This record gives sequence, C-alpha cells and structure tokens, in this order.
Amino acid sequence: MIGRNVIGWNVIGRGCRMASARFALQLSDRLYASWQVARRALISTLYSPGIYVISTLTLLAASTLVLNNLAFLSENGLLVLTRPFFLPAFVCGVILSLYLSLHATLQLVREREQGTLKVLLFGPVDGVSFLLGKLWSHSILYGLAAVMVVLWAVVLGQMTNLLVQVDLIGVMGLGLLANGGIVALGLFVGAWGRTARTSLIVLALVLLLALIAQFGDQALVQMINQGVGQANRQDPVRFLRAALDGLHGLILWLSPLAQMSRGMDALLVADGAALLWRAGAIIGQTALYFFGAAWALKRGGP
Amino acid sequence: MNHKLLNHKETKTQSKMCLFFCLFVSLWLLSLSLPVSAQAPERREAFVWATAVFAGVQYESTFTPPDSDTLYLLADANHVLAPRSTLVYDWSITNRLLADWPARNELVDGTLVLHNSTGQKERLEITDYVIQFDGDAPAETLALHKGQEALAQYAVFDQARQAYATALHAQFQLEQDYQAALTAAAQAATKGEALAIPDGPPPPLPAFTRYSTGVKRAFVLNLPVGEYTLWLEHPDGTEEPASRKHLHVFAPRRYGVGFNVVPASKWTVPELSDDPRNALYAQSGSTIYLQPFAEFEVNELAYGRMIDAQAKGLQEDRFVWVHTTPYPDVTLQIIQGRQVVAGAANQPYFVRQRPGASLGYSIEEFDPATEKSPNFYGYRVTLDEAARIQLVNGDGQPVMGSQRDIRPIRTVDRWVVYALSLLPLFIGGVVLLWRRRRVEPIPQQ
Repeated sequence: MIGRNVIGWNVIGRGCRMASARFALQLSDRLYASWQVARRALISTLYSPGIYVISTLTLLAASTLVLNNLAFLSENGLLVLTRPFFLPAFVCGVILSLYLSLHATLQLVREREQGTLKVLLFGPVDGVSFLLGKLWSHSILYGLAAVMVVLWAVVLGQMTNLLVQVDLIGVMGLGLLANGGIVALGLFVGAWGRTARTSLIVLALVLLLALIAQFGDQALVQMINQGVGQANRQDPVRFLRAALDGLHGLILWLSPLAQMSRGMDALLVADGAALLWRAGAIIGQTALYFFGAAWALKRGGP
Repeated sequence: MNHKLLNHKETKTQSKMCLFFCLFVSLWLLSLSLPVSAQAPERREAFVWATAVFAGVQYESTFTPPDSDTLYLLADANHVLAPRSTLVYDWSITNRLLADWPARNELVDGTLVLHNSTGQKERLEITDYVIQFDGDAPAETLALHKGQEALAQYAVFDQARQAYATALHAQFQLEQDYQAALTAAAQAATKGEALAIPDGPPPPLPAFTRYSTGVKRAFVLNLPVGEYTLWLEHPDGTEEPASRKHLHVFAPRRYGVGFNVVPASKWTVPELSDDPRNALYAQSGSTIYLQPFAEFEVNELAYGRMIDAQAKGLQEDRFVWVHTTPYPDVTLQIIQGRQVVAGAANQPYFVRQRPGASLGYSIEEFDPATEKSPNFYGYRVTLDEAARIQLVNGDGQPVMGSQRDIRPIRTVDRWVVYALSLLPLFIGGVVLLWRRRRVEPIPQQ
C-alpha cells in the first residue's frame, strides 16, 4: 500500500516537473518571439520620422508651458510653484502616449491587412507574444522619449534656475506605466476593429470621451463656481454635472492617464502607499486591455 | 349697405378682440416679470441638525437640510450638533433651503445614537455648552466648554462682564467729575478766582474683548477619524425619522506653515505659498517679504460641506489649505548648502509714497518716531543666490513644514528654449541620414 502511494507521488512529481519545464520552455519561447516582434517594430519606428516629429512637438508644447511661467514671473515679479516641470512632463506623457497608442493600433491593423500577421501566426509567434512584442516596443519608444524629456528638463533647469527634482523621474515612470495602458487599449481596439478606419474611429471616440469626462466635469465645476450656472439647489446643469461626474468616476477606473494624474498628486505629497496603489491600478488596467486584445485577436483571427 | 355695416361691425369686434388679447398678453407678460421675491415661500415643518463646527480657527454655524444624507466633521475637535424642529422653505433668489429660525426653533429632546463602522454603538445625552474667546487673540483663546464646566465658565464670563460694567460706570462717573471740575475751574477763572485745574481726564478703560455665547443645549461630539451613522432616539425609544445621517469624520492630510509672499515690486499683490514643497522664484536681486501662518490641508468636499451643508462645486478628489494662526515669534533662517548664511526677524515696514505726481513707492523699516503705524509686518529676504529658508522657534528648532526653496530666475531668450525642443528632430535627422548611408540601393538589372 505504502509502495503504491510512493509510486503515485513520484508520478505526480514527475508530471509537475515536466509541466513546469514545458511551461518554462513555452515562456522562454514566447518571450523570445515577443522580443523579436518588438525589435522589428522598434527598428521600423526608429527608422521613420514620426516618433522624432512627435517628440519635438511634445517638447515644443512643454516649452510653451515653461515660457508661460517665466513670462508670468517677469510680469508679476514673483512666482510660487511646486514642481515647474511636472505639468510639462505630464503633457509630454499624454501626447506621446496618444501617439504611440495610435501607432500601435495602425501597426497591428496594417500587419493584418497586409497578411504579415497571418504569416507570423502560422510560424512560431502566437497572438500573446505578438501583442507583448508590440507593448514592449512602444514602451521602449516611450522610455527613449522620456529620457529625452528628462534631459530637456535638466538643461532648461540649468539655463533658467528652475528646480528639477528627482521625482520628475517618478512622473516619467508613471507615464511609462500609463503609456503601457494606453498602448494596450490601442492594441485592443486594433484587434477588435477589422479595418484601419474602424479602429481609428473607435480609438478616437474612446479617447475623446475620456478627455471630455476628465476635463468637462472640471470645466463645469469652474463654470458653476464662477456663477455661470449659479450654485444652487435647482442647479441648471445638475443632470449634466451628475452624468459627467458618473462618467468621470468610471473613466478614473478605465483611463491610465487619470490614474497617472492622481499618482502625480501622491508623488507631490510623498504618499508612498497612494503612489503604489495608483501604479497598481495602471498595471491592472494594462493587463485588462492587454488580455482583452489577446482575446479579440484570437476571436477575430489573423 | 347692410353687408358693409356688417363688415364694419365685424371689423370693430375683431379690433376689440385684438385689443383685449393684447391687453391680456401684456398683463400675463407683466405677471411673469414680477419679482419672485414678492411671493411668500411656503414653509414646512422639518427636523434638521443645526451644527456649530470647529473649522480650524473659529466655529461656523450651518444646518443640514433634510434631503442631505451626510454630515462632515473634523476629527479630534469639539463640535456641536443640535436636533431642532424648525420651518424650512426654498428661497428661489439664491435657490437654497433656508430655516425660519425666528418662527420656530425648538430643541428636540432625545438621545444621540452613534454607530461606528466596527459596529460599536455609543449613546450621547444633550448637554449644556458655551463657546468663548477673547477678541484680542480669538484663535488662541477659543474654547468650547460643556456640562458643568460650561455653566461655571459662563458664570465667570458673566462676573467679568458685570465687573466691567461696574468699572465702566465708575469711569463714567470719573469723567463726569472731571468735566464738572474743569467747568468749575473755568467759571472761577472768569470771576477772577483761582481754582485748581484738575489733573487730566481719567485714563480710558480698555475695551471688553471677551465673548461668550449664552448657555445652550445640544450634543457635543469629539470623534476620531471614521465613518459613522447617527440618529436621534426620542425618550420613548422611537427613532426620529429624518434624523438618520451618515457621519464622515475626516482629518487633515498635512500640516504646514504657509507664507504670504509680498514682492517689493508689487506690495499690494501678494502671492500665497501654501504647499511646503513650493519654491519661490523671483528676478535676481529682488526683495520679498514673508508673512508666515499655520495651516492644514483638508479634503475640499468634506471641509466645504462641513461649514456649509449646501455648498456646491466642491470636488472629492481635491484638497484645500486652511489658514489658522500667524507665526509672529519665530526667526527666519536662510540656508545655503548646509550652512545658515543669514537670519531675519519679523519687522514692521512702512510704505512711503513718492512725493509729487509721479507714481511709485519705497518700502522702509518702520520708525515709530516719524510714522503712526506700520503698513505690514514680515521677514525681509533678498534673492541673490539659490537658497533654502526655514523658520526656527525660540529653542532653535526648525518649524515643521516651514521650509521653502528660493531661487532667482535667469532670463533666457525664448528662441533658445524653443531651439532646445528641436533636439529630437536633430537626433532623428542624424539617425535617418546614417540609415540612408547604410542602405545600399538594389542594383537595377
């Protein structure tokens, strides 16, 4: 009896070892395949002018924000600021993420339309490793652009004497995570939409809705505070405000950029727990969109 | 002929009808334009929680409308909650729910049942309370006394008030006597008699600055941070239907020292530096004056609804700084690296306008010999190099949250800043050119 049990445990143990070895092999194969996809996408993007043009545009927008502060200072004689490069870095992060998300969507849809995806999926690449490769490549691209933004801030800080502090790297780190989420959303839309046009329209609508919910609510609150709508019990825009409030709350849990903005607040007040919570939320959102994209790709086929 | 007459009659009737219609429409439009305030709003009986909440530096009164389901209170401070029956009405001018306190303001007897989130139940009885402070230093002397202490403190206040009234009466008598003696001396002088002129008027009595509410009855709460449910239980054990509310007790997120920063170039337009992580930027060589005050940071929605239960336009994810008391007796240190390079004391300053028609002013140290009163007090700092400032108390210990970076700004040409932004384009150009040189064109067959 005891001997039979020992044999049984041995069989189970050997089975587990084999399963884990197979899993490790599959994982390493998958990682290798995804790295190859990422390398290909990375080289293709770096050898095209788009990423350089958009990085320049983001820095121009950020420079305008910094110059606006400097102009205020020269008018007013005094400027009180918490982190002069936080908002410019956030703006850079938003523009870069939106561009990279759009880029990822277009890459995915184009590769499907041209039949490249079919060829890849018949080979050693599966849907998950393909999408993982896209996510990696766009994260690396964001990382390169983020390094450039930090360099720009350091040089500008030296030139103007504006404070550049270490937590700017934290903002760019949060941006890197948020970019992952936005790119995963773009991949999800790309995998779900059958054509480039549908994907682009859906992505644009989703992003527009997110922006309206994020800034529309604040604009309404400001309007009411300024007396446009009179703060009162029979608030004339009460329903609209309630609707936008609800949408805002929903977007907070769906938009990595909204979480990034709150993560920056946590960074400002040095609230480590809140920062971890926000970073975790962004990773959760990324995972949700990524597995959504994998599911949509599997369902739709190459 | 008849037909013509008929037509004329018809036209006359029609024009009459038209006139009546116009008159009716005009009256109707006129009635629409009548002010709404002319209508007496309908009052209805309601149970409300009238509150006197500690807002950080003073007590604020408000009441929670029956349709509002949450009360907000600052943690670890005494607050007053009074269960009251009153008449409420919608005031369409401001569109707020108002209470007609003069018409009805009755305390509803009962016990306050407080249920916290862990399921523990606490019962509170109505108690006497008074709120007192001294007008000369309201924030430092503000106190809420309850129970027997309230009665005792009110008695002390009443005695002081009566003693002041007696002293005021005596002062009045002294002034009367002085005036009479002065008049008598003047009359004697006109008759050629010599009468001693009394010594000066009696010194004025300092103002009575103490303040106290009357002894009132309500629940006095002092709770730690948490979520609670409360309701009023009548003496017969039944629950007052409209009294059940959710109670959100919140604490400040941060404490710190704020600065009112007065630039010498625009002394009437000061800037606020609330956040301890703020940096102050100014042109090199410029002078600023700092006026410190204690402060704490709270949730905008919770704090706003605590002091006004009907406040609108507040956001749950925003925080606001509440300024409390000034910091007059501390020293300001200027630190470069790790060394204290200079110090500054809180000094009075006088703003002297330039004489003549030309505009402008200069800020000078206040001289009591030449000027009546200073324009402002502050710590003077001149920005020459990047430094860090902090306040230190009498023991030489830094005051928590009083540190700020101060930095003189270097002027930069905007085109240089924009040129710096072209860095990615430059890198891209180099990469693409390198790529182009490496790629060999396919030879044509």
